[in-house]
Amino acid sequence: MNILLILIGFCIPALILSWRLPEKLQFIPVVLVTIIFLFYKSPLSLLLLGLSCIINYHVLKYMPSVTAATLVVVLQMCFIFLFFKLDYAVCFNVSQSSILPLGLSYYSFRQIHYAIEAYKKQLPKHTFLDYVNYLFFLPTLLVGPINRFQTFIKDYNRRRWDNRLFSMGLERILYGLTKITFLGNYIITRKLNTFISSISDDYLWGSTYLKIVSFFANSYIQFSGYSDVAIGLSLLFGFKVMENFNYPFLATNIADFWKRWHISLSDWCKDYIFFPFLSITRNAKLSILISMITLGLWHEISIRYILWALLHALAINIWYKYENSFLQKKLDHIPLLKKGLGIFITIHFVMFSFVIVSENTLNESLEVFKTLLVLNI
Amino acid sequence: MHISNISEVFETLEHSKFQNHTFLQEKSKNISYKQLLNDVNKLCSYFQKNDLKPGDKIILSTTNDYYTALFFIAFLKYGIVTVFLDPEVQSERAKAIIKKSEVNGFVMDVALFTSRHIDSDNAALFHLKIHEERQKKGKLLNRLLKQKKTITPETKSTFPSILDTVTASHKPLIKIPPSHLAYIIFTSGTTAAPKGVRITHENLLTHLHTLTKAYHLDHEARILNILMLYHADGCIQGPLLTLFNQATWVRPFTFDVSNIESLFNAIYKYRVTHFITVPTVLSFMEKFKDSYEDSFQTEDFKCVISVASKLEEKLWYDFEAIFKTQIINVYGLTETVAGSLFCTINPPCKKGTIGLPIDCKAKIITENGVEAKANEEGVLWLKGNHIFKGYLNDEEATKAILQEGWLITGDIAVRDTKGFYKIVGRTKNTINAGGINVYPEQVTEMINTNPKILESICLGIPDTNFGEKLVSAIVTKPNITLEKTELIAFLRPLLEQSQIPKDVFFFETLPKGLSGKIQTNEVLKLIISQRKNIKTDTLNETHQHIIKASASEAFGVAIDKITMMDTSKSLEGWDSMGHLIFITSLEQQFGIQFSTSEMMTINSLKTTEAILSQKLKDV
Repeated sequence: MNILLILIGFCIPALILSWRLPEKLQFIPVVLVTIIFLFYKSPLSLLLLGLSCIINYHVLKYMPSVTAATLVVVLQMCFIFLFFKLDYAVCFNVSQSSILPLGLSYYSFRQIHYAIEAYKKQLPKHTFLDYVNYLFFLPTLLVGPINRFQTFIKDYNRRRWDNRLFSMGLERILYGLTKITFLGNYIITRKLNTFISSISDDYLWGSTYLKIVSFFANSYIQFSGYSDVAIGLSLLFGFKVMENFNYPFLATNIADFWKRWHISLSDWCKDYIFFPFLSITRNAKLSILISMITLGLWHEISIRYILWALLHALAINIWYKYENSFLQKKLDHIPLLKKGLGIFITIHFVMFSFVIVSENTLNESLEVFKTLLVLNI
Repeated sequence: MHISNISEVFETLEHSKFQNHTFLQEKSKNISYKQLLNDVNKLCSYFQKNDLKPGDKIILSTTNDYYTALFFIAFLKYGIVTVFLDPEVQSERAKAIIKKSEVNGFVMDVALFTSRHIDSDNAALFHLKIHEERQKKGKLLNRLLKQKKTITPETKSTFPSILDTVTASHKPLIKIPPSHLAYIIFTSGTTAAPKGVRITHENLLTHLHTLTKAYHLDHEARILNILMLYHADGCIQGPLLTLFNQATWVRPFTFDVSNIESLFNAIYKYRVTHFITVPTVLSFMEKFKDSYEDSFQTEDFKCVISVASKLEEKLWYDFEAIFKTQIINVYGLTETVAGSLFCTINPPCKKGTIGLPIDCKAKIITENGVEAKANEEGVLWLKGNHIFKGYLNDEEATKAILQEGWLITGDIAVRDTKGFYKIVGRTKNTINAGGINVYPEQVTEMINTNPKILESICLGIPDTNFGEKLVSAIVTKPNITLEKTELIAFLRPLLEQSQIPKDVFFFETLPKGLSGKIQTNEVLKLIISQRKNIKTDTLNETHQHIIKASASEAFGVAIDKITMMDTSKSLEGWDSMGHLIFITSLEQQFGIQFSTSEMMTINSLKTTEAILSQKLKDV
């Protein structure tokens, strides 16, 4: 929350200047404030972002082979990402802590997206400054979404003062802050968790179930709240950034869930992992598996996230098998039951799968599952 | 409020509360009504000082959009007849237009005075040279240091510097009678004998009322019009229609295919309410729509207005469906100021037609000279206060087109049982290429002056982007070879860009009738058969059907609900798995294999068609 308030604080002068200056100069304050913010909070991240931005743009522009240039950029960004994710940065004394440089998860994936779009020849006409503007856009730098270059440039080129957009932005920030502070921090963390802790051991199943619900609800509220603030800030600057959540708890199946939860990351994995693997292997099951593992490892490189990803990949494959099954067709005649059942099963699968990553160790997760399955009572 | 005299337009404006309202929105500059009025009044004083009189004819020719609009408006106020001369027009035609117009003066860019030899040939006439000020480096610093503008002797007597030497006069101007000539636009005729359309103040004002009514304009309208200002749809439906409504004319750039993205962005960026354009531009927008489908979904935007040439029904439906907006289709000629029949949105008209006449009468006359019944073909005749007064110094041509106040359009039309008119053909030998009329005889005349050519004919063939395009069929002299590029290089100084043939076909002979005249229809058949042999780059309907059927199967959507405009966003079932099924189904049916990059790029049925088309060609 603290960093979010600092972020908002930094955005205010950039915002005023970006609307007051002549059109050609309007983006300079945004880039400058982003640089100052990173310099203040994470100079290492500023160095990484600055260097990768300059190198990648020029490699893609001047290297004769676009395939080779794309490979260079993708491998370089993967290397930087893994170098910090796998804690080599601490080993080699590049970084003092194992915490990832601020925003690296987002700007590395943005740059991979940019490189692959360049390979696909799908980038609009733009300059180096446009690329700088895209990467040094403070509102989405820290918490995403992994917004796309094409949409950013489109918004940049049609940008104008819009009262409606500005008020929507303010509303969205307020909405996000309310979600984080009131719903997340107060209701769930303080009230619900205190209530759960007060439940006697005689109701272990109930308290365990509530704990799982609380973890899922808090994750959703916190993350979507941060996204709301980022989207709201972008709106204040005149940018309509993509949505990152779309009522995921209403998903009627697991494939639907991944179209509603962390949309920018799941879309990224679909476009840049799933499709390339699919075109090479022509094997959808394998492509889903690889995409889900990437998605999992983006969060954390660990066995528990691999397990979590495997479970989701398995669930998606089962869903596709079941989609055209006899049972599904039978249920088509009772749409309300089909929808209700779908939502119930999906949300519970997702919540239970979160147990793998919410507990400190896999053993602890196992204990939770045992409780849920009434095996240790 | 009904304005019947041009002076009332300015009187209303002088007392208007919208003086700070923007008249012209350019990319980095706005011109307010206050500034426009001030400039117009200063120019009128300058005209008085130089003894110009109402009724004088002045050639106007400049590449600066604001200056074109400013002079046209100032001339109207003062009563001077504007003779529009496109600055891009080639010198032979310019010379002929100047000669025919018998003008009293020139307002042109400095460079045009030299290239058209105006100084030496017409020294006694009124001359005003436009010397566009260039933005100088360090201008901001100069402003901060309050440095005065430096006026060189070279620019002192030119426009806009002369504005600094005059003050807006309070001497009353003569009230211009409605029958007074407002402007002349040269549209047709041959290079040597151009035809000038004479439009009076009455024609103009009547029509501005009609356009306002048909488009539902008021002072809040923001009209995006980037059409050429030396054509009626540019100058009348741009600055003048804007002024008439005290609205805003949005013109941040001129059209170029390379800035199609800017055009999409302009709708939202400049809060456009009405977009006046030609079908060719709509066709390009439809082609390059990817990720711009939401461009017209703004709270301000009202409608697209298609002018100047026939709007194909398919393009009309597709455009409205893709961009979720509505189009007003306008039919008119330079001889009718701009429009006559309108397929409006409110009240709704039948799509695919040119709608109904507004503020005028229309009738269809058959070959037998009688009025046609419903659904019977004939030539469209028009009558109304907006119809022009005849061609300049050309009685014969005027008589041929104006009969008892009726204008014979030369277009073949039908009227359905509900009264909606539809254009089905043309009697005149005119080509409408992207909204610009080209007269093939003019081009043939020039081509035949090439010593290597024995005979030739120019004609129009259908074109997906421009509606029609000009092509030439040529027979060279025996044992002489001529390249297309060589011919075009030969024609460039003689013709305007729009008159240069877009394709050249060489034949050993051209089919002729008994009288020895080249048979246009037979030549057209020869050209079409030669093109068929060369071009096979588009997929036929069967292929489109296969694409739709595969999409239907893969995404679980009924085939009749799928159109070629659908994308991964518009088709609900287009998810990762559906994508694989779709791709593999196409691969099996066409016996091809998509590459990684192609698989990743396919995100709409149109893209699929384009990639498939390319792959099948490679195979």
